[in-house]
Amino acid sequence: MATDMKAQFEAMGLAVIVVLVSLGMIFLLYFSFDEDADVVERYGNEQLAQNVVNAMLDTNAAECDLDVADLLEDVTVWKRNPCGDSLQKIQEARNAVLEATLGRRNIAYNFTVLRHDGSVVEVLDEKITCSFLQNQRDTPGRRTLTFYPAPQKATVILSICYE
Amino acid sequence: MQLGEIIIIMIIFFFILGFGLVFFTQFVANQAHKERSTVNDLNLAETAKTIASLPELHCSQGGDESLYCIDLYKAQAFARTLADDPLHYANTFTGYRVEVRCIYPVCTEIPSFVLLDYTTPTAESDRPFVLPVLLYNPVAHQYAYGEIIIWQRT
Repeated sequence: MATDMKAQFEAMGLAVIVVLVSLGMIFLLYFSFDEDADVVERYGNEQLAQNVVNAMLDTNAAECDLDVADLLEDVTVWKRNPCGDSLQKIQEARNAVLEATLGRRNIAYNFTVLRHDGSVVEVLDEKITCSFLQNQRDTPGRRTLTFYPAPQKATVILSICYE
Repeated sequence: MQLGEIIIIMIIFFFILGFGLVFFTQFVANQAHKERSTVNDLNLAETAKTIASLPELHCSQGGDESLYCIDLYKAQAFARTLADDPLHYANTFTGYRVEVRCIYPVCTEIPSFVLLDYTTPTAESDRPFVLPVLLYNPVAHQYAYGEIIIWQRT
């Protein structure tokens, strides 16, 4: 009789431990999937990426009356270099803008310019920083520029990477 | 012997219970801290949105306004007005400091200025919210790349 009672107590003790451990696990899992902060970070990065692209493309290049979008049109379509080397001017603007807003704050990014046929404008493709991050995700900001009268376009994509 | 076993089991049980309670308390405190940080971030983003949509700052051409473009002269006039009359907008921006910074291509004329500052000098600083914008100089007809930097200090 006493042995039966002891066995019952032990079984109950084990059951209590199992219940407690299960509750702990459920509790941990529930809170580890709480992604509120992630949403805020993602929203902030989306806004940042889109605003950087929009503002950069409408900025006047140094010592030139044309903006970066006009110079991009020249690089992808006309190739007239109205303010000297258009490509160099775009690279200058890109480096200054991305370094000031993202690089200085240690924010990893990818910057890509695609032609109308989907091919990458190689000299404006900067895939450096994101590739070093593990488990990275990105929030892209993009703007498609349509060039008239030539039926061509270029798409500028800036992806901000975060873990 | 049985009594000793029961005592040991009770000690282990209360030890686990105590450990759980400490863990739970710390976890809740951590969650509260995270929640506070999230709310602060949301408020900061909301304030950034409000600042970016202030019609006092937008550059406009032919009645067409751009949401991510700031007229430098309007912004400076706005900053002066707020400096003269600090109570204006005090309800909306209490605890915030906003700075406009020009980055590229040339910013010799107006490199940076404080748009508004409703913080106290002893306030603790959080990480800033950066809003990239286009800065329009209507005199030179030049567009520059700049940032609106918003600090929340409590």
